[in-house]
Amino acid sequence: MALILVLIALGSVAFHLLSPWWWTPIASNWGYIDTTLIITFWITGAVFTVLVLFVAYCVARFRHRPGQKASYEPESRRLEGWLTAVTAVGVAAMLAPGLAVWAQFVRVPANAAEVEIVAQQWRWSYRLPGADGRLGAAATEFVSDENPLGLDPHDPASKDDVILDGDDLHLPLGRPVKALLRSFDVVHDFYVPEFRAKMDVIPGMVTYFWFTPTRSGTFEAICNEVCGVNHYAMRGRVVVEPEPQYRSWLDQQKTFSNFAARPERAPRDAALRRRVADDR
Amino acid sequence: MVDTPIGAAGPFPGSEPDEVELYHPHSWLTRYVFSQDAKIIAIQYSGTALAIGFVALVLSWLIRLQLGFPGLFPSIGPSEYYQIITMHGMIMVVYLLTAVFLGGFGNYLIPLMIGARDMVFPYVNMLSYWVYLLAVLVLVASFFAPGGPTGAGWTLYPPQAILSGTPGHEWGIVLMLASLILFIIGFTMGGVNYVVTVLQARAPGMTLMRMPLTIWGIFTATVLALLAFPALFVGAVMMLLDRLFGTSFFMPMIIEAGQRLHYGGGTPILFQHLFWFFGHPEVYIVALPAFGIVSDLISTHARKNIFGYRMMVWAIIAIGGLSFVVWAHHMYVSGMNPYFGFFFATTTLIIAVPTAIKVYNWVLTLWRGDIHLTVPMLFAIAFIVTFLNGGLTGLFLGNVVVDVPLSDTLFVVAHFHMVMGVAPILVIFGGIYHWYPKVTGRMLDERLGLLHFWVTFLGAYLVFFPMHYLGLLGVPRRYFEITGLGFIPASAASLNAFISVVAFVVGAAQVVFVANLIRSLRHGVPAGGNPWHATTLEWQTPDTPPRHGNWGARLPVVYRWPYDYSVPGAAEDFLPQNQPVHAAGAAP
Amino acid sequence: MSLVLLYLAGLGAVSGRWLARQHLAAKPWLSAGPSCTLPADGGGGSAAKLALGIFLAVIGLLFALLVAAYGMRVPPGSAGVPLDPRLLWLTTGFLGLASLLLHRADRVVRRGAEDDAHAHLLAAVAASLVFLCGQGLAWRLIGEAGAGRTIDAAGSFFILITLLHGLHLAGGLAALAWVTFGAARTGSPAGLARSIGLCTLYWDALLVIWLVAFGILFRTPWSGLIDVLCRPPA
Repeated sequence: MALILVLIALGSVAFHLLSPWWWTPIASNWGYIDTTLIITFWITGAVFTVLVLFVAYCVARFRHRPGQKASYEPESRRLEGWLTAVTAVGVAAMLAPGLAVWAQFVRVPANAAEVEIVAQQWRWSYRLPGADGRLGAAATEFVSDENPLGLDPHDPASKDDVILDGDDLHLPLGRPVKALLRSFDVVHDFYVPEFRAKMDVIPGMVTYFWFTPTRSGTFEAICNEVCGVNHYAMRGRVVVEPEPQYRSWLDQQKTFSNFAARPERAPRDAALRRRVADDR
Repeated sequence: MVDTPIGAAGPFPGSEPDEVELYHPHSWLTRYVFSQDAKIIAIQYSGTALAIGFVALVLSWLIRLQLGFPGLFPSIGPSEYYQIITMHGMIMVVYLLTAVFLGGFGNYLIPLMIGARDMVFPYVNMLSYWVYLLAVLVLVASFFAPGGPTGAGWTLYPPQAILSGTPGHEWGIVLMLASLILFIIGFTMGGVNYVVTVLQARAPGMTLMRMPLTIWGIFTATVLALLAFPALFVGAVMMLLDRLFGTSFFMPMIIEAGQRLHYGGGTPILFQHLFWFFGHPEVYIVALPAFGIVSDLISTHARKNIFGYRMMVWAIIAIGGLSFVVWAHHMYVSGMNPYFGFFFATTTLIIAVPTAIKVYNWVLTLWRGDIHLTVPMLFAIAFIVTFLNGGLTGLFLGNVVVDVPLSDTLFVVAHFHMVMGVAPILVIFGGIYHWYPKVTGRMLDERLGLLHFWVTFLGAYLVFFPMHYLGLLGVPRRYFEITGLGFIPASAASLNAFISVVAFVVGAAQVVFVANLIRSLRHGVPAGGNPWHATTLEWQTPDTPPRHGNWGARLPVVYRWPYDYSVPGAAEDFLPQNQPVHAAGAAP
Repeated sequence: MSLVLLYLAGLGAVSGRWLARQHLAAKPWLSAGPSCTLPADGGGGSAAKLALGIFLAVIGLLFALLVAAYGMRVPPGSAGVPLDPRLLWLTTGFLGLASLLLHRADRVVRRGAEDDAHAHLLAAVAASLVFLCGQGLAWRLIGEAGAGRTIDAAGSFFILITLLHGLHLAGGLAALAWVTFGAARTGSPAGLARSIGLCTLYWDALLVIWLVAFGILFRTPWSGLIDVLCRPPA
C-alpha cells in the first residue's frame, strides 16, 4: 500500500510535468488567468504530494506488528491551530490573485468595441456596429426570415449594423472587445479556448464579457453549455487580424439595410432545418 | 434535553422511553417486504439503489465506448448519447449516492449506533422507502417512454430541457421531474424521521459529543437535505407547469427552428439558482456521511482514537452551514451579476479550511497508530487520496477566474467524479466491507475484496486523473464527439481510448464485488459479534445480525465516547461505549 | 434570495442556540462515566411535535423559495394577479377562523370538555373546507381569464402557490378529520389533546404561509415588507 501511494504521488507529479496535454497557446490578454492557475497548481500540487507521501510513510511505519500498540492522543490544539493557519494562508494566496483578476474581468474598459454574438440551435451569428460605432436595438420579437438577428427596424442606429449570418467573425488585433451575447432559444456558451474567457448566452437577456485579442490567426469557437442534440456540432470561427486587413474585410460586409432588402433570400424552412440537424 | 445527574457508580435504571411501541410483524410479508424495521428498510434502500446504480454503471460504459471509440457503435447517436449521460448523472447523484448514504447507511446505523430500538416513526420510514421505490420505477419507466428518457443533462437547464431540440422532451422530461418530486417527498419522510430519531431516541448516556462521527455526518447531511431538496422541488414543479400547462416561469420569448413559441418573459437563470441552491448542498449531502464513515473506519482499523474529535464535529457543522452560501459558484459564467463572483468565490474557498482540517485529522489519526490494512481500511485510505485530489481541484474551480476557462470542460467532469463520485463510492464499499459482518453475520471474502479494491482504486484514479488535463486543454464536456477541432491534438483521442479501457476494467471489477456479496452470504467466514474489535454500539448487540428491536431486554447504557482505542492501562486495545468505567480497569 | 437566506439564518439561529446547550466544547474522552445528560423524557408527544416542527420548517422554506422566485421573476411594476382581492380577503378570514377555532379547541380540551372540543374541531374542518373552496373558485376565475399564461407570471405564481398551499392544507385536513372523527371513538383524552395541539401548530403555519403568499401576490398592508425582503438587489 505504502509503495503504491508513493507511486501515485510521484506518478501524478511526473504526469503533470511530462503530459503532452496542456492548455492551448494563449491569444488574448487573459494571461493573468493562466498565472492564477499556475499559482493554484503549485500550492495544491505541493499539498497533495506532501500529504500522500505522509500517508504512505504512516502506512509503512505504523503498520500492525504483533505487540504494537497505538499511542493515545485525543487532540493537539496547537498542531490543529497551526495547520488551520497555514491552510488559511494557502487559501488566501490563491484567492487574492483570483479576486484581483476577477475585478479586471468584470470591469470592461471604456474603449472596448462592442460586438454582438447571437446564438441559436445550432449556429453562431454575429453583428458589428456600422459607421456610427454603436449597435442598434434588437429583440427576439423582431426575428424573421428577413431579419435573422431580430434588429429593431425602427431604430436608426441599427440600419448600418453589419450582419454576419453564417460567416466567420473577424476581430482587429490588439483592441479590447466587449462581446454582447444573445440567444433566441436556449442557453449556449461562447468559448474560444485560446481566449480563455467565456460566458453563457441566456435567452431573454444580454450577457457580456470582454477580452483583447493579442495574436492573429483563426480560432475555433465552440458551444460550451449543453444546448440540445447537436450541441457538440455547434461551432464557429473567429479570425483575428491586424487593423488594415480588418478594415478592408469590414468594408465588404453587408449592413442590415441592404441585408433586409435582399429579395432572393430563401425562406428558412423550419422542418427542413430540423431534419438536417437530425441527420448529422 | 434535560440535564440529569446520575449517581456516579450506579448503573442506569433500565429506562425505556415509553414512546417506543415497536411494531411487531405478523407475517412474512410484513416482516420482509412491508417491513417497518429500519434494518430491513436499510437493506431494501441499499439493494434498490445498488441495482439502479448498476444501470448507471452500464450507462457509463456506453459513454466511454462512444468517447473512447467514436463511431464504433453506430447505435449510439447524439440523441442516445445525451440521454445516456443525463441518466447516468442523475441516477448516480440522486438515486444512488443520496439513497445509499441516507436511506441505506442512515437507516441501518442510526438506531444501532445511538442505541435505539428503531426509528421513532417506523411506519413513515416504511412509506419513505416505498415512495423512493416508486420514484425509481418512474425513472426507469422513462427509458421505455416514447422518445426515451430526457437528454437535457443532469442539470436539466431550461429552456432546452423542455424544447424539441433535446431528446426526451416528449415524455422523458415529464417522468424525470415527476420522479424527482416523488423522490423528494419520500426522502422528506425519511429525513424528518432520521433527525427526530437522533434527537430523541438516543440511549441513556449518549450525549451529542459521544456520538460516532458517522452519526454526526449522516445527521448533518440529513438536515442539509431537508433544507436543500425543497429548492429542487420548487424548480421541478415550476418546470413541469411550463412543460405541461404552458406557463412561463423559466421560459422567455423563444424562436425555435423558425417558429415563435407561446412562451414569454421567463428567466432561465431562476432555475439555475434553484437548482444549485439544491445542487451544492447535495455535494455535502453525499460527502458528509462519507466523512463520518471514513473517520470511524480509520479510527477502528488504526486502533487509535480519531484525532481532534471536537474539531471534526465543528468542521462538519461549519461545512454544513457554509454549504448554503456557495451555490452560485456553479454559475460564475452563467451571466448572473458578475459582482456575485467575489462573494461566492470567497465563501467557497473558506469552506476549504474546515475541509482541509478534516483531511489533516484523518492523516494524523494514522500517525503512530497500529494500522491494520484490512479491506475497509484500504478503502478508507484510498478515499483520503481521491478526496484530497478532488478537493484540491475544487480550489481551481471555486476560484472564480480560474473557473472561467475550465468550466464545462472535462476538468469539471474529472473534478466532480473524483470528489463526489469515486471518493464517496470508495467509502460506500469500505462501509459495506466493514458492516457486512454485522448485517449478515459473515465476513466478506478478503481475497476477492483485495482484488476488488486494487482494481477499483487504481483504475478510478487512472480514469479521472489524466482527464483533468484534457479539460485544461479545453476539451468540453457533454460532447458527443470531439473530432474536427483543431486545438485538440490527435493524442487526446488515444488518451480517451486508454481511459475507456481502464473504465471497462473498473466496471468489471464491480461484478467481483457483487459476486462476493452473494457468495459470502452463504460461504463467508462466521464473523461473531464484533470482528473488528470496535467500540461503537452497533457491535455490542446481543445478537448478530441484530434482531428486531436491536437490544434484547434492556437498552444499552453509554459510559464513554466512541473512540476509546488503545487507552493506556486498559487490558484490551478497545473499550466499548457501553462498558462501565469500573469494569474497564483504569479510566483515562 | 435574501428572504431565503434570512429564513435559513433564522433556522440557523434556532439550531445554533440549541447546539450551544449541547456541550459541544466538552472533551468527551475525559468524561467517561455515567454522569451525563440524558435524552429528554421521551414522551411520544414531544417526538411528534419535534417532527412536525421540522416538517413545517421544511415547508416554510419551500414557500420562502417560491416567494423569492416570485421576486426574481415578476417585474416590480407588475399589475399583479388579475383578480378581485375581496374574494381572497374572505377566504383568508375563513382560514384565520379555522386557526382560531383550533386554538379554542386546544384550550377547551385541556380543561377536559371533550364534547365542546369536538364541536370546535368540526367547525374548524368546515371553515378550512370553505377556504379551500374559495381558493378553488379563485383558481377557476384566473384560469378562465387565461391569466395563468401571462408574460409577467403573477397569475402563474398565484396558481402555483395556491396549488401547493391547497395540497398542504388538504394533507392537514385529512389528519384533522381523522382526529375529529377517528379520535372520537377510540382515542384517550390525553391523546386527543396532543393531536389537537399538533393540528393547531399546523394551522398556524398554514395561516402564516398564506398571509405571506397573499401579501406578495396582492397589495396588502404588509406587502411592502415582503417586497423589501424578496426583491433581488438590482
